[in-house]
Amino acid sequence: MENVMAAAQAIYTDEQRMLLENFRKMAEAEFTPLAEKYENLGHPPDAETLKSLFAKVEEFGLISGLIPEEDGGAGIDRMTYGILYEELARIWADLAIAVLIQSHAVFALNLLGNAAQKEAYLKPLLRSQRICATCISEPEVGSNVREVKTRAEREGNKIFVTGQKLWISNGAQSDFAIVVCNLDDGISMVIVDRDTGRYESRELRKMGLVGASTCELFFDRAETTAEHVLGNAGGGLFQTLKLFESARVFVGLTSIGIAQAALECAVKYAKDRTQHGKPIGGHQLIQGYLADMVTHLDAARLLCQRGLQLLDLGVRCDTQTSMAKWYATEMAVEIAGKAVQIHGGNGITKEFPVERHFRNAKVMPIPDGTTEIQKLVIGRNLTGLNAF
Amino acid sequence: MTLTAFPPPAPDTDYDILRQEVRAFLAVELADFPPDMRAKSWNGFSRDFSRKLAQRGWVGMTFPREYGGHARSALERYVVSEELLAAGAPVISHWIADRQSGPLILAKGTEEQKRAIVPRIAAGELCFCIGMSEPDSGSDLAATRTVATEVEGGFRVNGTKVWTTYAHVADYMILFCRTDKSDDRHGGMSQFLIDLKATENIQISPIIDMAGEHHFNQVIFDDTFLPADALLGEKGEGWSQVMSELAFERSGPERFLSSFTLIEELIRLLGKDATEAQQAEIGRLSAHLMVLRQMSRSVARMLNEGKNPALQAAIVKDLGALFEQDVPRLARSLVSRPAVPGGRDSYAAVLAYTELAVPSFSLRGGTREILRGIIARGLGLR
Repeated sequence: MENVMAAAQAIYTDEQRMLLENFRKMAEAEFTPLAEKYENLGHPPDAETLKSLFAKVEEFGLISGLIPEEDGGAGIDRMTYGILYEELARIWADLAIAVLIQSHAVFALNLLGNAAQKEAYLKPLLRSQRICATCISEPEVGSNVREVKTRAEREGNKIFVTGQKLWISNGAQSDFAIVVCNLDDGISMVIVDRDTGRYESRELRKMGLVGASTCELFFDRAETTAEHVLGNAGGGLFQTLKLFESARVFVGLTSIGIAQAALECAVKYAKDRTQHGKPIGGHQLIQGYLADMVTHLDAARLLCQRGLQLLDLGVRCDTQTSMAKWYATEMAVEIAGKAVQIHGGNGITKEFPVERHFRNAKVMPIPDGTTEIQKLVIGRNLTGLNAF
Repeated sequence: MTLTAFPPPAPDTDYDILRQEVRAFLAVELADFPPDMRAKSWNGFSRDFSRKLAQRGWVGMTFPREYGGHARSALERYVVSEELLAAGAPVISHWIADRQSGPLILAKGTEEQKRAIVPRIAAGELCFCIGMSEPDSGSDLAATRTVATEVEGGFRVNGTKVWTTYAHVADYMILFCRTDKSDDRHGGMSQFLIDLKATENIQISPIIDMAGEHHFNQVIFDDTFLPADALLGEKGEGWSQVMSELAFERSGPERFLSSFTLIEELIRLLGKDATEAQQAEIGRLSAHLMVLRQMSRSVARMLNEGKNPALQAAIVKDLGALFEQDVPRLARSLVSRPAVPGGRDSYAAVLAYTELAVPSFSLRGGTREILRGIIARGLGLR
């Protein structure tokens, strides 16, 4: 299958292929054993370990890559960043999710933060000294940002945040949180530092990605100040949607990494497993499965890579990123399911890694807007009619 | 085979009284049985429940009275099975024995075997497992390597079986293995009735599934001695005996009701506030369920009439697994609520369990690919 992958990657530049090769060597050596370790432990790495992992991927610019060099970032184009990110997801999807959250916090702070906020909050992220969680969903509010219930109340210069946030990645290890909440009668983003805000977190059990932190966060009059409002007060809805636009492509790429790993397992198994006197991969039915899997995977990858290119152009592309997100995440479920089927009984046991890829793939159609929400975004942009 | 070879099933109303009796029993027995336990469907294990069911005469229903059975029809047994599955009752303790091992012993066993074993199955006392698949012999059952060599007074067995459901708690295993070298790939196979509690040199170790649960086992036979009277049926006739079990195994309501608890939870959650789009999807789901039920009941009628509906059973199992596997996808598309294993939200907990259970539905009891090969052959394509 290496020949198939290499042929497809001929569209990458020499520099992209070299970076990918170097990143792969590092990530396979450093992360493959850790992915196994945390899968078996069933919980994510602690904060200090996660910071050291962030520092490791930052050697390739995966934490700061989305912001320009003049702002202290690695300033990588999104296409190149995406190629490396997909590879990370293939090797350790749980870490990829944590990196996605941290790198998009970097992106948000750089885009929306003032000089003081950048000094206090962006710089420590660039140095992998602190961890940020971005808090949008709530128990009764899933993908629709307009309906968030968490409220922030001003008392002089102080702001007190009260509410409950759900499905918060990196929540347990976070040092501070960017909280989407109601302030001054509008949706706003407010930074709450754990030192002063003293918010609590509770790790949630998930069916997959058990090495990635997903938490419930509790803000009980969590204290922060007016200086911690990120961007415009009341402008949080637009700001959040802008973040989603980019993040959705990376959720799609996470799924592509997972599906790629599942496909590789399936091809290997189809060649190794002999039944009825020949490798099962020699049967037309199995080859049909594999051909479907690799075609859907490539289509999803190309949709995501187009999204990356559009983001780099700086044009509005929420339709295209929504297309990429729903298609890639749903296709990964399909592909991982087929990979399990090819493995037969072995596919549903802990003895083979394909079951982990299947469970991980299952998680991905939900975050950053479910498949149904993506379709409503696309439908609205096609018709001009809001069906939310 | 013609595509119309599914005769109409018996009228549903013929068994209304029995159905009401079973429902009343289940309403009491499972009053406090939570949805995430019901979601395990026929993988739920409770010896106590199986015994109580047997006391009502609903285990070994089709077995002759002289062997502790109740001489009822396969269609009556079908009604009971359907109600048990719809309620998510924990039935696996007696399920395999009642469905196929008991009928196999009655058909092929010696008089001693019948008298010793069958009444205890009908009493809900015995849990059976099936030693069939091996590490290198899954879909290709004829590649079985486990071998029973004839020795003085019996046989010595060596080999490894995998995916042996509930072997760690079962009382008996029906072992399928090689007893002779044969040029015919299907020849030289035999079946044995093994008392797992009284046989030495059998090592049973768990195989954990993707939900983290222990249903499957690896069973290693290390020079295991079996007495001569453990042979079940004719020596060398194992292949045809196994094949005749499959129609029983492949067409029952367990082949389309395994995700039923999730359907119930989904409908409960949507309730009267369901949107038009949600109502349409639930309607489509219900229509598929009803068609599958009619096809499955048609096969039950054929079995009851002594026919061999192996082909129709393969069709029901393949379509049934597709249906069962589609239920979580449909649930996710209708309700934006993530799956949470073991949580307080019963819908989320049932979804989490079912999501991880469904991949096995097109693997157990014959993979989708094998079934489609059987269907193709039945249509004259192979």
